[in-house]
Amino acid sequence: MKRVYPKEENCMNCRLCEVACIVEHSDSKDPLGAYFVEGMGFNSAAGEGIIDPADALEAGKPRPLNRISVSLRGYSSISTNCRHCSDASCVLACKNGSLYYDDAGRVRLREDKCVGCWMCLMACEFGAITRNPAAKNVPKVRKNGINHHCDLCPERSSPACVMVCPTGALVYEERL
Amino acid sequence: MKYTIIGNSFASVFAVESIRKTDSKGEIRLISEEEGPAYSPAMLHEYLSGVASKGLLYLRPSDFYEKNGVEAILGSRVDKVDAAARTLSMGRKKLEFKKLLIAAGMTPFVPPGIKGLSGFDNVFTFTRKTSADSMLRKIKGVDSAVVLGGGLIGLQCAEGLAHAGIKVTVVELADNILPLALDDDAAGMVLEELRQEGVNVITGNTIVQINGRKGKIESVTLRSGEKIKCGMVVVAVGVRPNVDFLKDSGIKIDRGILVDERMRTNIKDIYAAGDCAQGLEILSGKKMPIPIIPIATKQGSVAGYNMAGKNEIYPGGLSLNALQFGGLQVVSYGFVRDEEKAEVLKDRDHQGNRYKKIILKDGRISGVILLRHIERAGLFRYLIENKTVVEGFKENLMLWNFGVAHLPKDVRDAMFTRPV
Amino acid sequence: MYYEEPGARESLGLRTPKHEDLFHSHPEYKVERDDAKCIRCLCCVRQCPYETTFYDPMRNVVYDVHSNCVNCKRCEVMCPTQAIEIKKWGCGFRENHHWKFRDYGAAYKQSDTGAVVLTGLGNDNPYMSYFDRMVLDASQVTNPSIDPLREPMELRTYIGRKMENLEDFGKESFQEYPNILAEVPIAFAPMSFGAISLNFQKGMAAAAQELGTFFNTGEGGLHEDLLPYKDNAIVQVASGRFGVSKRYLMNSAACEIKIGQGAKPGIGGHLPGEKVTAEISKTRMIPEGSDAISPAPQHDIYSIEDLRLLIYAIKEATEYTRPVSVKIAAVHNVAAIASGIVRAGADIIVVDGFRGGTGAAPKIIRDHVGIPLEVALAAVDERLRREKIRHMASIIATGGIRSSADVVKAIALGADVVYIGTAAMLSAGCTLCQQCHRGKCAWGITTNRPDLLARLPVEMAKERAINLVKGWSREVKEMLGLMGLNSIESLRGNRLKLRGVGLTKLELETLGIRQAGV
Ligand SMILES: Cc1cc2nc3c(=O)[nH]c(=O)nc-3n(C[C@H](O)[C@H](O)[C@H](O)COP(=O)(O)OP(=O)(O)OC[C@H]3O[C@@H](n4cnc5c(N)ncnc54)[C@H](O)[C@@H]3O)c2cc1C
Ligand code: SF4
Ligand code: SF4
Ligand code: SF4
Ligand code: SF4
Ligand code: SF4
Repeated sequence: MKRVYPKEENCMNCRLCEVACIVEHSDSKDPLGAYFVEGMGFNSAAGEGIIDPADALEAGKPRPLNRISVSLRGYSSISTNCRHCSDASCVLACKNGSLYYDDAGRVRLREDKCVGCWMCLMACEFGAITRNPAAKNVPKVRKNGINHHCDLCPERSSPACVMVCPTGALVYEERL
Repeated sequence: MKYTIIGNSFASVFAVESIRKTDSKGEIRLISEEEGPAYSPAMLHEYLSGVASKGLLYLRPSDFYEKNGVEAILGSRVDKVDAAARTLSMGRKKLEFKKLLIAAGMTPFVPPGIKGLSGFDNVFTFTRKTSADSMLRKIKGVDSAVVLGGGLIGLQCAEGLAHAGIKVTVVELADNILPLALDDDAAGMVLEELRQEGVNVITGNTIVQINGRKGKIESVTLRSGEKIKCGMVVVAVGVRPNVDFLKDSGIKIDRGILVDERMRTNIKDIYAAGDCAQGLEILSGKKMPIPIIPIATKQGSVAGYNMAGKNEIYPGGLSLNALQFGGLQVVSYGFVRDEEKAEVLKDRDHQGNRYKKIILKDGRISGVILLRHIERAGLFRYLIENKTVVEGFKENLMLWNFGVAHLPKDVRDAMFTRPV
Repeated sequence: MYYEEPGARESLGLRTPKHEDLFHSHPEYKVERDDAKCIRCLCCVRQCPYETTFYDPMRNVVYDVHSNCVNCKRCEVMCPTQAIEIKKWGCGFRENHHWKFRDYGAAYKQSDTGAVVLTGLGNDNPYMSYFDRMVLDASQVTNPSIDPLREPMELRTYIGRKMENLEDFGKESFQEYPNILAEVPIAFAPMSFGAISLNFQKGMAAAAQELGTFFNTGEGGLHEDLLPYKDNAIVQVASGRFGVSKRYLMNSAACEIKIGQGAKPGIGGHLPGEKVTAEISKTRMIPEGSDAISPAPQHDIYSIEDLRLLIYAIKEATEYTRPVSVKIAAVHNVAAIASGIVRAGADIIVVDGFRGGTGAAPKIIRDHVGIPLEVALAAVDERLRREKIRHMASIIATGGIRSSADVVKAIALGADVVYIGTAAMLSAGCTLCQQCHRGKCAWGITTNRPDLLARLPVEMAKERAINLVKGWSREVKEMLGLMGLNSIESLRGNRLKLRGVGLTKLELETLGIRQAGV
């Protein structure tokens, strides 16, 4: 199965991969639409992906969140997303079967089922899962949200992040 | 019938899937004491309070058994397994098996010495959907409840009851709640959150007597002498492996069913997985039951693969917790209270109400607690499970933005250059 | 690093210049951001190496300290919504016929700092370009032109000393000299690892290998990653003797003694200690963190005789298997110097004109010292021919070659091959911002900061360099064909193919070309 692999020596921390991912998963598929019309002015980039879902919710409907994220230390950066593991830890940990493998072997989320218990986030060894505060299936629970992770851009032949990376720091290929 | 599985929960579901990934034809028979499709016990409190619709409870779509060609015998309890004769019996019915997986889970532990426990209707345990269902039936006539046990199950039950509009008091014998998953600081923060959710907690105490009239509970008496008014009591002091029905079966049992790294019991072609099994814990190197979902599923999956002929190793597990109380997320790994001969890194951000603690032993991580800021928590799991020596970059671990780039290059390469 | 509180002045939005940088901080460029299009992705903030652009999370605005902008265009290119336009700031400072800002702006800087003003790249003073005053001939009626798409067209050429005469061919006494074969008459100019990034150097090395031409290590030694390309390497021996060993000399196609550089004739170089990273220290064979100083002269060369000793020392060391090149800057009596060099035993002579680039040089020297390549080249070729020693050395012309037309003109003036430096950097994305000396090149070319380096992956550098040289080669073939020539070697020194436009008689004579129309 083809997966996205980082080539970190090529990564220059521009985070256009994050932008591309956001735009690809927006309704308008246009950066201005995604950030201004769909998004309501909270900025994940400013906090290096540290978002308190509650704050985001209070700010209104947030724009789609990036499913890939760049980790920076000093002058080195690396962009990582879900590995789409076979026998994935997140699938094994999910409290109510919200995560599943689609026919292509991708690890996917049943968005109407996830209750935001964060078992998956705890279990994923790659830190690939984030909290998406925009959706919620258990209304009474405060400050919740649902699982958010890479879906490998099912509508595209090659993922948005890989396509956009200016330096080839992301590679989409089959490896053994 | 090639495969027989006792149990219909996490371990069993993953076993079925792993068998099917390897062997698309071999017949599978699955027997469970409970009626209905596999559900998540960890969703029961949300089911109880009504925040989660019923559909969210079930582990797999309704066509799961049919699609995987599983003959499901639901609502029948296996009361005996004869390993030598390779039969199991359900009441008077006897079945032969070739390959057997025992995934019978846990059963609630009810402590002796509480007076009046058996005299009342409204005393419950909280591990099965049936108990949640009968609680739901009684809940209308009740306005307050006492939950005995401040562990995971007790607190979840308490929160569920609180969300359903019932006044709840939790009574915990130890000095603090969640003694296995949290340290005192973290427990304090959780306690605060629970109070906001409407759950009252009493620690260092226990119930000695249940008082009432005509089968109706009126109050409980605590060891301290205090009396608490209530109409319902939930006993959630712990669970133990559900292995009583295996007595005299010939299968080796310690606290749970002893299994090797392929989930095999001492008897050929009999496997065990999940809460009833006693597998390897990697930090201590000892075998112990760890009754949590990620372990049950992993063991179930490994058992399934091996039963179907694929060689798959269970590397061992550790305590892994992700909990949510009110608006507070909690993640913890490993042994979080064992600070003997350990280096403890700790950071409590009072303003953001965040807490992070890492316990290091011999340069490796042996325990982690994260409160509220749980982003990328799983990286710690990787470091613990791979026994990575973190001595050289331990200052990075405490950064709030600790991420992949903070790991050494060789660790990153091992993680991200090959498929998983 | 990006979200730290910027200086109090900037955060106040107030500019209260301190007297020590009164004019230094006056902006030359303005970063204009269309706020309606800015999605706050902060790509520009992360990409600007010159601390121009900041994000203020409290106000959710991206703002700029315009005086830091050097117009490198990185942010403009990277912004995913094209929200940025870099503009010239206002009308600029007052200029008059004598005082141009390019001169007096330096005086401001010096008044701020009291230091020598450093810069990168080549001389950008508006001296006349002789290349632009020369035009090419084309065949009409009396001689046919050649279509390079239909007929063979040879760009390959041999570099090195040619044999004395052919009569002895095949006999015992016949002496052959080592020559190297260039498939195209374009090679990559010496640029040292340290001054340029390893990625860029690797890119050029790989491109040279694929194109069948050469790259030049510059004076910084040969990094071990470049060993696979050693057969395409010209290795330099400069006054600092960095990284020089027998092994180094043997890991080459040819060896080059660097006497001078067109951008800074007569002065040495200085790579500050903080730039001497582990990799650079290994390659240059000097301690990490120590200054890498190339003295102005080679301390063992004070005469042509001394040069001969070094040339032959290298020939001995390489057992006469490598042509030895000597590189000089184009200066006043370049022809006589070249003659001496050839007589001293050099197999190749490199003439570097005053437009030649540099990683760092005092601006005043870059802009005022040396002579144009065109005249130097013509003079050297002419002199060597007159002295009948032209066959003893190939001439490589470098310093300001901008296009395939410049290549053709340089060869017609007498060069065998040209080196391209700045043009190679352009292929990698250089925007001529002249900040090479600051080591923070926004395009990853003249820097070794890992995050900046990542901006120029080796593959990308390689592909683009190959494309450039291929494109030029196609054009060179076209030009050869239209002149009725079918090999680059028959263009060499063929000044009849050139005519001057708007040059004085003396200039025409110096260039050895005729006036257009005659
Ligand atoms: C209220 C509650 C909350 C929890 N929350 C969490 C949580 O947040 N995170 C976490 O990691 N874990 C949690 N757990 C634990 C988790 O539910 C268990 O680890 C998991 O269910 C174990 O799965 P299992 O397949 O091993 O066994 P079980 O889920 O116990 O299932 C056992 C199965 O065997 C069947 N069975 C038992 N005996 C027999 C018999 N004799 N004959 C036939 N069938 C039999 C039962 O009907 C059942 O289908 C929670 C548990 C409870 C009760
Ligand atoms: S992976 Fe590519 S797009 Fe993403 S930050 Fe790195 S260089 Fe930019
Ligand atoms: S979320 Fe994590 S555990 Fe799940 S498939 Fe992706 S990388 Fe694997
Ligand atoms: S593959 Fe698609 S969904 Fe996954 S991180 Fe890249 S852009 Fe996002
Ligand atoms: S790169 Fe463009 S869109 Fe992004 S912050 Fe800068 S100006 Fe705005
Ligand atoms: S990236 Fe270059 S052009 Fe953009 S602001 Fe910085 S210096 Fe100016």
